[in-house]
Amino acid sequence: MPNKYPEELDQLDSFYQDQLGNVEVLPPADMWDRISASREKDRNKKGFGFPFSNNQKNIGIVILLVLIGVSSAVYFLNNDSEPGTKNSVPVINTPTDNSTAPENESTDTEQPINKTTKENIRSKKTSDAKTVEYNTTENNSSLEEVKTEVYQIQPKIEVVDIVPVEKQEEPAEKAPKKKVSFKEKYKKEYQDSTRNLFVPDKK
Amino acid sequence: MVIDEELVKRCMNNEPAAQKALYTLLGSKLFALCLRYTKDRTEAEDWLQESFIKIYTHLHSFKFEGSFEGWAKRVTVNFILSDIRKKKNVRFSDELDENVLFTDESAHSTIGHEELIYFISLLPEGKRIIFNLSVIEGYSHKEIAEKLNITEGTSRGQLAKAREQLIEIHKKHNKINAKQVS
Repeated sequence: MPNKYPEELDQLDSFYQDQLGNVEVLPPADMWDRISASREKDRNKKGFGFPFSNNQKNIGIVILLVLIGVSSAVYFLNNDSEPGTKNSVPVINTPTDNSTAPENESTDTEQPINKTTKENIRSKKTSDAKTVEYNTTENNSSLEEVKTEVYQIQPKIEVVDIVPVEKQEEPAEKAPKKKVSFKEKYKKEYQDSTRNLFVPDKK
Repeated sequence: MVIDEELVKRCMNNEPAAQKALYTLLGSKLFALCLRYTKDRTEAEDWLQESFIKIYTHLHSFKFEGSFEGWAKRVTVNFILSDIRKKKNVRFSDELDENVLFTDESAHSTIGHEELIYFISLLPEGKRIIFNLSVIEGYSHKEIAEKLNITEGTSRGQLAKAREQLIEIHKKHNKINAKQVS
C-alpha cells in the first residue's frame, strides 16, 4: 500500500483497479439472517399466490379470450341459421274502424309477419293500410338481415301497435300446413264456446 | 474455498447449506462493490440483501460460461443501477461535497481501501457511477451509455471530470497527510 495518492491522471485508473479490484468489506453479521428471512417471506408469498409466471398468465388470458370469442360466434351463428328459434317477430296490430267490436272480430286484424323471402313479404302487404319492406336474403339463409322497415300508415288508422310475440316454431322440412286464417279459426272457437249457452233446458 | 460448479448446482437445488456457503464466499466482495456506489452504508446493505435474493432467484440463467463471481457482480451492478433509476434521476453535476472532504476523519497517514471508497463516494453521483462502471468494473462507454440512457460522449466527459476531481482530492489529502507527519 503506497503512502501517497497518485497525482497524475495516467496513474489513476491502474491505481484504483489494483486497490479496489478485489477489495472485500465484511457485511453486517446479521446479513445472512436478513437474506434468508427475506427469501422465506418471498416463498410464502408465492405459495399462497397465483402459481404461474407472467408469461403463463398472459398466455392463459389470450386463450380465454379466444375461447370466449369462438363460443360467442358459434352461438350467434347457430341462432341466426335457424329462423324457427327466433324469439320474437314484429306483429302489426292495425285496428279497423270498428275497433270497439267484440273480441272475435278484433282478431281479424292481427297478422303475424314472418321474415321470409321477398315474395312472401310482398304477398302480405296490404297496399292501402300499410307498406312493409323487408330486404332479406333468399331462402332463409343464416345471414338474414332486415335492412329497412317502412311503415306508411293511413290517417284513418288510429293506433299502430308493434307487439313482439313469440314466434311459433315450425320445423323447416315439414310438409306445409293448410293455412287457416285467424278469422276462421277464432270464429269457430267462438261458435263452439257459445253454443252451449243457448241450449234450452230439457225440463 | 472456491466457487465451483458443484456448489452452484447445489444452490440451484435450493440447498440452504450451499446457499450460505455461496454467501460466505461472495458477501464481502459484493458489499465492497455496493459501497462504491453510495455514500449511505444502510443503502449499500439493502442493495447487498436484494442482490443476493436476485442471485438465488436467477441462478438458472447462469450458463456456466465464465466465472460465477463475474456473473454475480453483473447481477449486483444491474440491480444497483435499476434501483438508483427507480428512486431518482441521476444528476451529472460538477460539485464536490466540500463539507465532508477535509475533516479529520478523512485524513489518514496511510492509504486504505475504505478511504479510497470514501473518495469515490465524494464524487457527484453521475460521475461516481460512471467512474465505477468504467474504471473498476471495466464496462465500455457504449455499455455505460446504454445502461444509463445517456450518450457515449456524456459518459466520456463525465469520466474525464471524475478523474480530475479525484486527482484534486488526492492532492489535498496528500498535503494534509504531509502536515500531520511533519
